[in-house]
Amino acid sequence: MKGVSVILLVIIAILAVITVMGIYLFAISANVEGMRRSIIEREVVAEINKLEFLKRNLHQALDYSFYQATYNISRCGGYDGPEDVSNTRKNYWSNYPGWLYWRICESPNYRALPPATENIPEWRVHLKTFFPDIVEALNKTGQKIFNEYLESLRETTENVSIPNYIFKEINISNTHLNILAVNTSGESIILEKRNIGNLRNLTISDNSTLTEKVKTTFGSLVNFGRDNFVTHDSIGKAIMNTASDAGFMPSGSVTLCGRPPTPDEVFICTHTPRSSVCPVCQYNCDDEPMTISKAEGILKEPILASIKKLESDLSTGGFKVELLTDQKTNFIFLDCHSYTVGCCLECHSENSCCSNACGISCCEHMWKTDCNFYYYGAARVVVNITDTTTAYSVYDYDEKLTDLKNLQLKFYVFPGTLENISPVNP
Amino acid sequence: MVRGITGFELLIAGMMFTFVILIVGLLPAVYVKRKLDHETIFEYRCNKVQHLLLTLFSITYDERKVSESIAEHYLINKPDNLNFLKPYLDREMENKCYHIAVHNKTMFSTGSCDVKCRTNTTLVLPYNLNKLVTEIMVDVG
Repeated sequence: MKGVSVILLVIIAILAVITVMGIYLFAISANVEGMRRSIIEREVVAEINKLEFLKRNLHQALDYSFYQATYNISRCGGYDGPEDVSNTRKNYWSNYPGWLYWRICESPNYRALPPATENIPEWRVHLKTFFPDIVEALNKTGQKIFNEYLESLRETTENVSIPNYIFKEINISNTHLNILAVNTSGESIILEKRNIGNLRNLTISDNSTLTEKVKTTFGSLVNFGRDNFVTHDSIGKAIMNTASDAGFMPSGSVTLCGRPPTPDEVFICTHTPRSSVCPVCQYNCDDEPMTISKAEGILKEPILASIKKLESDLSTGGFKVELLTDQKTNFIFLDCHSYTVGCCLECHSENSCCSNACGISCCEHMWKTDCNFYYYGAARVVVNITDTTTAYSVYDYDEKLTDLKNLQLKFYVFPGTLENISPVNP
Repeated sequence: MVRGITGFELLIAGMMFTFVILIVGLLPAVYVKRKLDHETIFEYRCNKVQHLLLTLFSITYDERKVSESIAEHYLINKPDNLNFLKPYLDREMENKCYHIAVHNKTMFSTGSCDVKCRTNTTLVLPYNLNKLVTEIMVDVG
């Protein structure tokens, strides 16, 4: 019987199988090639993502660096640290020795201003103000902390070279710090990955600058402190008002009949002299003369009370103000600026020997003394302003832990109730 | 007289032969293709996880960066929880199977489900004297 050859059938079958297999294998091969490209693409995308994560981490590091920097600087009164405070203090104390002393009635009675020793600076020493360079402090402190973050990122990010950054601009507003950081020497962030598929080496570089708007009320806090204690002397004004209310005139000219005043005696003067002929102070002769220590006793508590009242007056808008006076270093004094001595005025009676309103005979030593008195009170005050509106995650060196903390600005103020006295040799 | 193979029998034999050859020859190829398809889906899901993590590093909530909230929750436990992120994560991961951890502390977990893909990166922490950066990991199923 004539039939299809078996061999022919086998050949046809083999060809059919080969054809089908060929088509299927071609599809798989194309799939494999696509998969290979996909893997390479995935690795490239992963490396690009690594770079993107790094850039976001750099921005976050900037935020935390400046949260910490503003916290540190605020507690150091606007300076980078205790060493900067100490250096600045040495510098201006050495240039202004007169600030250390004042004189009482031209007598060699000196009383030294107790020097500040804590690591917070003076923003005002009587009429002289010393507002720190906040931007410089932010730059210095922020840079140190940011460099620590850069080191940590370098250790944990493989195959990436991270350049150094410097802060080209720091702008302070009431609600933000606007930071512009540039990489030094034209360096870039460089990512290098070897042996990716047939790409061999992958290199991506990014030399963009870092700009960050750090949300912080630091600017507002510093401006509040400056406006109330540097631009305007709130404490000095409160003290002067208190002295005025207590009957101490800011200045007065009084003619004394009788003995010359001793250096530590002062007299309370009123506007209206008792006699138009021989005006004298409202002075009760039987009383002990008013001494500085006695006047201090009268003024001290009202002045301290007025400073305390100022705390609540100034604590507005989320700022809590504390004015801390150290009992040991408080001093209140009354300064006799100058006096001249001359002859007494005419006697009242017909005799050559007469008596003045105080009953002191004009035959005896007759003195006319004009005193110009400046009555001042002063105290060394630590100003502590806390911004209660916002808390930041910062490290506190006293408590030795990281937690949410409010910004706290601290500085010294010696109120401007002292007149500038030229330096004298002690 | 020898009876020859009929056409029908030949057809059956040929079909059986072809079928066996196809199975033996193509089975490995089919297996390889299935693996490749699985890998492709795996790569797509892992890319999506990377995208998710990158988005967490880019978005803000209540005017704060989410990455900062995560870092502060890890270090100082403030905010108390990160529940505000859950609706977003559920929307991004349709199968709602994910686990987010910072170092060895779980931030979010949808419970036990098979982890199929993991991605991680560095997270910057608030300033402290121990470590300034740590690792954040995202696992999805």
